[in-house]
Amino acid sequence: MILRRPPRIAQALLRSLGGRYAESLEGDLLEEFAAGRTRLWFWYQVTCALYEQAWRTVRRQAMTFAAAFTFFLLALWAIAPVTYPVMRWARTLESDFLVLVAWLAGVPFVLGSVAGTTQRRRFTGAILLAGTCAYLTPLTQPFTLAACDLCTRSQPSTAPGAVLLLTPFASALLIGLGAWVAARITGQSSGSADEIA
Amino acid sequence: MRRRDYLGHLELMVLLAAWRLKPEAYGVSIAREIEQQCGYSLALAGIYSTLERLQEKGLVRPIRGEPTPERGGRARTYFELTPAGVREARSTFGALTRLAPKAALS
Repeated sequence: MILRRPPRIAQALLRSLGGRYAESLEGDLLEEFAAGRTRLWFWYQVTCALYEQAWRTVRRQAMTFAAAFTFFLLALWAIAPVTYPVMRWARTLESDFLVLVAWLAGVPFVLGSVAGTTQRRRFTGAILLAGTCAYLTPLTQPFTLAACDLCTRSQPSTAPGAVLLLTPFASALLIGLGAWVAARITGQSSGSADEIA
Repeated sequence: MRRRDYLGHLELMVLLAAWRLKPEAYGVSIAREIEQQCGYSLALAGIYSTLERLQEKGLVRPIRGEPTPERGGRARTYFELTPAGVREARSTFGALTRLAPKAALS
């Protein structure tokens, strides 16, 4: 006898990022799965749920993301002199791998604090997000190298301006995406039990 | 002047289905009803997303059911129309009916 089990990863994704009615939706999917629906159908439904939730969040937080990116660009020019020492320190490291590790190690902490703030105070959150982006920019050297290698096959110093601009954009995008994921996870507990009769 | 929130096509369908299914309106039953009556196969997430919008507009109210084993211990969330939801459904549906040419109704 072959036991049919619903895809656990899909369930975990739904629980973490599925929004206000994630629990009810998961129950509905399990009910339909028990009635004979396939694993592929289950994954399709979860993918739709994640897409719906992502699109909904982007629409709601559009001003936050726009403000964050604007402040990011402004802060980048304003804070650049302050970040030079960090840049120099990053360049003294032996390998790009260590720079990447340093970059990744700071990200979860920063994202957690930023996401907590953006939940309630969007404007303050945007400023914090921009400052964080500006601070992290020197540590995005691996992105620059990868972008230069991919796009121009040249060194960063000789790369066109567009490629160098790609780096802050990529970091802003990644941090924005990370902030969204963190916000979804931290905001998961609110809005379900207390609003349902 | 306050901007009026008009109901979208999908919102009206979900609202009418929830009204029709009362008191058994939840994600699966609403999706099934729309598929049977209208021929649209909608993702459950789309139904819940629409219900969430309707709830924010004050047109439906969620009611938590009992957890059941076949749902992995997850409770159903039933939805019922609020008085404002009933008014809005009547008003929008009535407007569409009045606006439609006779050929569309036959």
